[in-house]
Amino acid sequence: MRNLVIQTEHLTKEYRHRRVLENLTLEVEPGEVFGVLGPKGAGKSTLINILLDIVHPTSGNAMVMGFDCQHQSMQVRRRVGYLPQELAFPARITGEEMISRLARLRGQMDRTQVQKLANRFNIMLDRPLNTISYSDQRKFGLLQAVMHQSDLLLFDEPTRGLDSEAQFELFRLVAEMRHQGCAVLFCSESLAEMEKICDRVAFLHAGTLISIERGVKLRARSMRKVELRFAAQVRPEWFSGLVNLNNVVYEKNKLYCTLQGDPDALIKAVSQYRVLDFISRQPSLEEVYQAYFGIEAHAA
Amino acid sequence: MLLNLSIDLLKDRLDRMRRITVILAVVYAIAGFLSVFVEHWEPGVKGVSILFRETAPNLSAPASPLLLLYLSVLLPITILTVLIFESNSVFNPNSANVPMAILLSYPLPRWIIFMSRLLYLAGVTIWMLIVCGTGWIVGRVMNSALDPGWSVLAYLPGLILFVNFFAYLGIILGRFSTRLWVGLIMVLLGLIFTYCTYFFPDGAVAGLNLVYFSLLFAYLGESPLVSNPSPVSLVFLLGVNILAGWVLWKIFEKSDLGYLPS
Repeated sequence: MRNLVIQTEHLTKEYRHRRVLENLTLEVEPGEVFGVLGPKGAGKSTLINILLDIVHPTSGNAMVMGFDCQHQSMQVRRRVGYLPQELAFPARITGEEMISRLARLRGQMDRTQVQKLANRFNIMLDRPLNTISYSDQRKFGLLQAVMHQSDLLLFDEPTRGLDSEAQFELFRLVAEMRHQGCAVLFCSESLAEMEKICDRVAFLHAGTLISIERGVKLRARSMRKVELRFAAQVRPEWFSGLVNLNNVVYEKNKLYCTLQGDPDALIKAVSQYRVLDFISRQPSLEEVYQAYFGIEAHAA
Repeated sequence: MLLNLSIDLLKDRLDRMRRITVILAVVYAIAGFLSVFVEHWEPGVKGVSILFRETAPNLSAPASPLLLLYLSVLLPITILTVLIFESNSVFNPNSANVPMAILLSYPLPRWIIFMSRLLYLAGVTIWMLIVCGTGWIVGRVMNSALDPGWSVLAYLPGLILFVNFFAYLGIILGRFSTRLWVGLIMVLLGLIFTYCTYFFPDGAVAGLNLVYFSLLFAYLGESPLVSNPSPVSLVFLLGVNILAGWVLWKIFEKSDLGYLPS
């Protein structure tokens, strides 16, 4: 029998006759970083809420580490760390006090480890949480999620509000957790984040699972919007012929295109010209869904 | 754990409660102070005051028409207003100041979270009673050497149950409709019915005087304040509180508590 960390079967949730999660079946292995990608309203938070028994499913079932999420939710919550999408803290309470409160609720906490994590993310635990920046509040949320050394971490938009340094630290932390055998459910609206860290990614669209892709495969076919500015006129047909280049548009010494996969061929092609500028950016979720599945990410 | 959670909640709401406490203590002290003038202002007594005076010939000592106004309208409405807004904050998972999302991810049974909130609301009720009651009495004693009205204490258990029932009703209706204002309006209608049947019981349903349909009857006894509330009335009030609390628990147990999509 397979030892799964998360297992959902035909999970469906309706809010006031609107389906926010439909027939979702997925499995997460131990030590796996599993991404759930989708725009706002795709059902990512609902999935986490069902796993924690904060929200009751309309039909289907969900198991975490062999425990039924609805009927054995206490056992589930003893083994899970959770970073919610929205954090609220009472006025005046400091990070230290909040940690003490949360420690009282569950235990399983090493104070030295907490302090190390706080130093790592530059969190001032002696300051009231409602007076620190949004970014620091998010970091604190992260700290409280990982401090109990859980077997499963549920991260709902963990990079929201984080500066690039903290994001980098978060990805390192997730990699360390994976190394220690901890599974992570990583919900986000950014494919770039998923590509960096996830072993597998589930694409959700209006509550429906449309595909599960391996991280390696995603990285191989990752999309970039590229903009090149040349010193002189170039022959655009040179670029149109490249297999992993799409939507090539050339105007006034500028080349716009969508690159899928590695940029080797493109770099070799442009190397014969003088390049004044090279801009590469992540495509929007809308563009990703359109390119991968031919559908609009934000369904009505 | 239950007590700890309630105390945590109290600490979290302390700033807000402190402001309310100061305002209410001052307002009630002024009201208590002025009430002595009104009681002795025979020729000019008008409006609500005269209404109570005329309909309260057997009012027990200290004979005061204002006492009825104080016990039946002023105090319950004040406490209920605070309670409904507080209960909306502590029971609403989307409330900005109560970190329910994190709390719900910890291994705590729902009933503990639920009971800790009820305990907190009971604490708020008692605290409001102390504040308003002390304010009122201090105001009266400052103004006069008259009996400050200790007999009022007999009505306190009924008052606590009366306001808590309407607060539960507010939460239940608010949760059902997912809108606080719907809960507030329904509670207001319930209160209007309660006051009308108690103060203007002209008419009967199935041979019963309408006053018996009023929860104020269970809290204050026969209209208007001819005797202290009977133990049976208190048991009745306790019963309706338990019933409302049970319905509230069922809603809390079955409901989705996360950040819900709009």
